[in-house]
Amino acid sequence: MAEKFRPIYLLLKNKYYFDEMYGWLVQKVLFGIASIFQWFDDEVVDDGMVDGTGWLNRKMGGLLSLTQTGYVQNYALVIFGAVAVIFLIVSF
Amino acid sequence: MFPIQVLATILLPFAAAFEFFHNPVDGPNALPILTCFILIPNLAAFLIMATPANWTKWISLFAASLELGLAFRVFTLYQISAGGFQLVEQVPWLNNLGIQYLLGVDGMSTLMVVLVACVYFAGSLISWNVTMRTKEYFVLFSLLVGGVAGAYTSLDLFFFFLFYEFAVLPMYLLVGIWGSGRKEYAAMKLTLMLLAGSAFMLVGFLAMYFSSSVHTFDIRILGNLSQTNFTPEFQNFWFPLLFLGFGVIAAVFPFHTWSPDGYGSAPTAASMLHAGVLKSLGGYSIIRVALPALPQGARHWLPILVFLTIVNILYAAIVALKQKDFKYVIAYSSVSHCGAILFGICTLQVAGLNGAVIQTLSHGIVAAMTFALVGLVYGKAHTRELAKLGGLGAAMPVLGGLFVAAAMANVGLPGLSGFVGEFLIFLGSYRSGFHGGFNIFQVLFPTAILAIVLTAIYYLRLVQIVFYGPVKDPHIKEEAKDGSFIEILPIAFLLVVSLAVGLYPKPFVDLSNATIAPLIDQIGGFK
Amino acid sequence: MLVLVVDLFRGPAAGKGPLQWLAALGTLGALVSLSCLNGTCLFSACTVSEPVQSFAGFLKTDSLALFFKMVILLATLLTLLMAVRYFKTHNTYTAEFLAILLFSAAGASALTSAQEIITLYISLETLTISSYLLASFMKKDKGSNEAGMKYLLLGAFSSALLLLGFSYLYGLTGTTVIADVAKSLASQPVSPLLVLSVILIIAGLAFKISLAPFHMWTPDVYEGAPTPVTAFLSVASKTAGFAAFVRLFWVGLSAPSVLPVWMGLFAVLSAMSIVLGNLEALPQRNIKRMMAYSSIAQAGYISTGFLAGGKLGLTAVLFYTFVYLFANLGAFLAIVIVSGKTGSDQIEDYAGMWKRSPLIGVALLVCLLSLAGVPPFAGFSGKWYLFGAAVHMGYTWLALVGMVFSVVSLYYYLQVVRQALVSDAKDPSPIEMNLLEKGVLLICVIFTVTLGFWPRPIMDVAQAAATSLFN
Repeated sequence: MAEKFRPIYLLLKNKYYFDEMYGWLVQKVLFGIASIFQWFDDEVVDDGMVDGTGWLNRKMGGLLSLTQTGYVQNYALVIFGAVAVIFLIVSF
Repeated sequence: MFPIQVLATILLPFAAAFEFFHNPVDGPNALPILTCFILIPNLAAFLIMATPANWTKWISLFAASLELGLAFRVFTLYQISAGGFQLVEQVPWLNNLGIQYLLGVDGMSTLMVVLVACVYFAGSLISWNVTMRTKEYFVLFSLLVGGVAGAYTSLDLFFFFLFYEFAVLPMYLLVGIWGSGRKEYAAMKLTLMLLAGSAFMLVGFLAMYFSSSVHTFDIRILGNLSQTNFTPEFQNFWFPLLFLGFGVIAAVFPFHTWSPDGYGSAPTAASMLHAGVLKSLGGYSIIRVALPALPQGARHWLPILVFLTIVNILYAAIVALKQKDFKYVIAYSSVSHCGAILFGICTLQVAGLNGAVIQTLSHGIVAAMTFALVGLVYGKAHTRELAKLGGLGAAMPVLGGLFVAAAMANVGLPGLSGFVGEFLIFLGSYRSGFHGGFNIFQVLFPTAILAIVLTAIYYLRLVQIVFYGPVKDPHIKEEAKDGSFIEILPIAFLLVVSLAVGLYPKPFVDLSNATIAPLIDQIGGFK
Repeated sequence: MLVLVVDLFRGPAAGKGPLQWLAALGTLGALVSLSCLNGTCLFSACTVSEPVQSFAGFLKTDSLALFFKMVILLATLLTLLMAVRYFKTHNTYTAEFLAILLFSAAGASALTSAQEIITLYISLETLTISSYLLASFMKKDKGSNEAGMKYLLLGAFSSALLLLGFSYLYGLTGTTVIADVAKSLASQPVSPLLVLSVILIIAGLAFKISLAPFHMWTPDVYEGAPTPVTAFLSVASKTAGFAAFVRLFWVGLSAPSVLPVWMGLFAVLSAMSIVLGNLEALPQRNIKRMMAYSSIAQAGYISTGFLAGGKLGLTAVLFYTFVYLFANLGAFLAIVIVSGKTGSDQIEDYAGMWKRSPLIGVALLVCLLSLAGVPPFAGFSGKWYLFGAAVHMGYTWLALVGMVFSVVSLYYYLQVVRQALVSDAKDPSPIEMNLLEKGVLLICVIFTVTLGFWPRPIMDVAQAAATSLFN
C-alpha cells in the first residue's frame, strides 16, 4: 500500500512537511525581511537621517567658519555691505 | 549576615514611610507626600556626595525603600470614587508668568508613581557591584530618579518640562562614563535627540499658554480649555508637533534610533530606569497634555499617526531578529512595546487607552527586569555578542529560569502584566470608532497580533541561543556564575509585581480608568 | 548716582603702588560702589518714583539703570578676580590694567543711565576705548596685539556709523534727549532718512553686542585678548550695549510708526546670530573661540526677548542678562584657572577635570549647560521667558529657531563637559585654587542652579526695573 499511495504516504509521514515549511518560512522569508529592515534602520534611518543631521550641522559650521578670514578689511566690508543691503531691503 | 542587613535596610524604611503618611488630607494641613516623593532621591544624591563611599549603596537602597513605601501609600490613598487629581500641593511660584509649583496625582499618575519607585528600587540593587567612581554613579542615578519623579507628579507645564529635562544630563554622564561599547557616541546621540524632541514640546507649551485667554501653565485648566480657547487650526497645527515631540522620548519611528544605541551602551541600571520609566513619559505626556488640550487635533491626526506606531511595533520587532548584540535585541523589543502603547493611544477608545496605561506600567516593570537580566549576564560573561554566548543555562540556572519568565512577560503571556495591557489595546483597536462605519483599526488589528508572534520568535530564539544552545565559548562557561542574592532580589521583585498586575489587574485597571473614562468623555473619544 | 562714578575713579586714582595693594584697592573701589548701589536700595526702591538725576537730567538712574549697573559691577568684580589670577601666571603690570578696567566699567555704568544721545555716546566711547587697550594689554603677545588692533579698527568704523546715524536723527528731531526724540518722531512721517539713521544706529551698536552680521570681530578678539578681558567683554560690554539698545529703541524709537522699521530687521538679525553663532561654534577646538561664537548666539537669544519688548520681553532680557553673567563668568573663571595651570586653551586639554579638580569640572558643567538652556539651570528659566515673550508677540518661528539651535549648541558645550567629566586626564596633577577662587566658583554654581528652580527674587527685581521704563 505504501507503494501505491506513495505521495500521500510521504506527505503524512513527514507531517505534511510542516517542519520544513516552518523552517523555510521562518528561516528564509522572515529573516530575509529582517535583514532588509535592519539594513534600512542602520543605514537609512540611523546613518542617513540621524548621523546625517549631525554631519550636516558640522559641515555648515565648518563652511560658515571659512567666512572668518581674519582680515580686518573683509570684516569691515561685511559691515558696510550689511548696512547697504539692509537699507535696500527695508526701503523697498 | 549580609542578606539580613539588606532586608533590614529595605523593610524598615518601607514600613516607616508607609506608616508615616497614614493620613494626609487634602488641604493646607496635609503632609506633602508628593513633595517628599520628589525630594527623597534628590536628597539621597546630596547625602551620597557628602558621605564616605562605603555608605553610598546603603543610602541609595534606604532611599529607594523609602520611596517604595511612599509610592505604595499613594497607591492606597487614591480614591477612585472621588476621581480627579488628589493629594494636590499648590504653591504660587511666579504669578506674573502663570507658573505654580503644582503637584498632584490622578489614577494614571498613581500607577506611574508606583512604577518609578519599583524601578528605582530594582535599579539601586542591581547597581550594587559598581566599583568605578561609585559615588558619582549613585548621585547621578538618584538625580535621574528625582527628575522623573517630579515629571510624573507635576501639574504645571513649567515644572513638568523642568523635571522632564532634568533627566537628560545625568543620563548623558551615566552612559558616557559607565557605559560600554560605543558609549560616547550613544550618549551624545541620546542626549541630542531627546533634547530636540523637547524643543518642540517647549514651544508648544508656550504657544498653548499664550493662546489661552487664562494665561496659565496649569495642566488641569488647560485641559478644560480646548473648546473655548484653542481654535481648530491651532490644534491641527500643534497636535502633531506635540505628539512627535513627546514621541521622540517614546522612540516613535523615525525618531527611535537613539534607543538601540542608547540602551545598548548604557550601564544596566540606567537602561532599566530609562526604558522603564523615562520612555513611558512619552505616552504619559500625550495622554496628560496633548489629548485633553488638543482633542480636535487628536481626532484629525491620530488615524494618520497610527501608521507610525504600527511601524514601530512591527519594524522594531523584525529588526530585533537580526541583532547580534544581546542588549540591542532587548532595546528594539522596548521600541516595539512602546509602539504598542502609542497604538493604544491612537485608538482613542476607552479600552485602548486603558490598555496603553497598563501597558506602560507593565512595560516599565518588564523592560526593567529584562535589562537587569541582560546586564547580569553581561557582567558574568563579559560579552554581549550572541555569537559567543551559548549554553549558559547550565552555569546559571536561576538566571536562565528568570530570563524565560521575563521572555514570557514580554510576549504577553496571560498571568503576567503584559497580557492585560496588550489585550486591552487590541480590544480598543477592535472597538475604535474612527470614520463611522469603517474602522481603520479593525484592519490594523491583525498586524498587532503579528507583533506578538514576532516577539515570541525573537525572545525564544534568544533563550535558546544564550541559555540552552551549545556552548560556544567554554571559557565563559567556566567563569560565569549564577546570580547572587543581591542580584536575584530585584529581578524577583519585579517579577512579583508583574505577576500581581497580571493575575489581579482589577485595582490597576480601575485606577487607570479613573483617568481615562472622564478623559474619553471630555474629548469625545469612543466607547 | 554721582557717588557711584566717583567711587569708581577712586580705584584708578590710587596710583601705582605694590601689586597686592593695588589689587585690593581696586577691588575695594568697585565693592564700595556696589554697596552704594545697594545703599540706594536696589531692591526696595525699585519703585522709586524720583530717580536720582545729575548733569541736568542727562544721566538718570532709574530702576532699569540700577539693574544694568548691578550686572556690570558684578562682572567687573569677577573680572578683577580673574585678572589677579591671570597676571600671577603672566607676570605683567597689574596697575594700569586695573585702572583701565575700572574706567571701562565707569563708562559702561554711565551708559546705562544715559538719557541723552551725546552722553550715551561719550560713555560708550569711554567703555570701548578702554576695551581696546585692555584687549591689547599683553604687549609681547601677538594674539593680544592682533585682537586689540582688529577691535580698534572695526570699533572705530562702527563708532563712525553710529555717530552718523545719531547725527541724522538729530537732524530729523532737533533734540538729543531720548525721550524728546520719541515725541518728535511720533509727529513725523517715516522718511528714508529716518530709516537710514535707524539702520546705521543698529549697525553701530550691534557691533558691541556681537549681533550678526556685525559679529565678525568677535572670534578673533575673544581668542587673542587676555582671558579676563574676554570675560569682561562678553558680559559687561554686551550688557552695556543692550542697555543702550533698550534705552534708544524702546524709549526713543518706540513710536508706532517707527516700530515696523526696525522690528522686522531685528528679528532677522537675531535669527542670523542664533544660527551662525551656534553652527560656527561646532568645529572649534579652542575654548575661547568657542565661547566667542557662543556669545554671538547668546546675543541672538537676548535679542529675541528684546524684540518682544513690553514688560514681558524686557523682564526676560534683564533676567537672562543676570543669569548669563554668572554662567559666562563662572565658565571663564574656570578657563583662566585651567589655562593658568596647563598653559593651553584647547578643549582637549580639559580632559580629566573630574579627577584634577572636581570643582572645576562641576563648574564647567553647570555654567556651560546653563548657557545651553538645559534644566534645571538658570539658563533654562531664562530661555523659557525669552522665548515665551517672543511667542507672545507673534514671533513663534523665532522661538522655534532659538530652541532648535539651543539643541545644536548642546553639542559643543558637551564637548567640554565630556572632556572634563568623562575622559581620562593626560596629566593627572591636581589644579590648585585659593579659597577666594573656590568660593567664587561655588557662588556662580549656586546662583546658576538656584535661579533655575527659584527665579523669583531676581525676576521680581527685573520686572520692577522693566516696568519703570514704561512709567
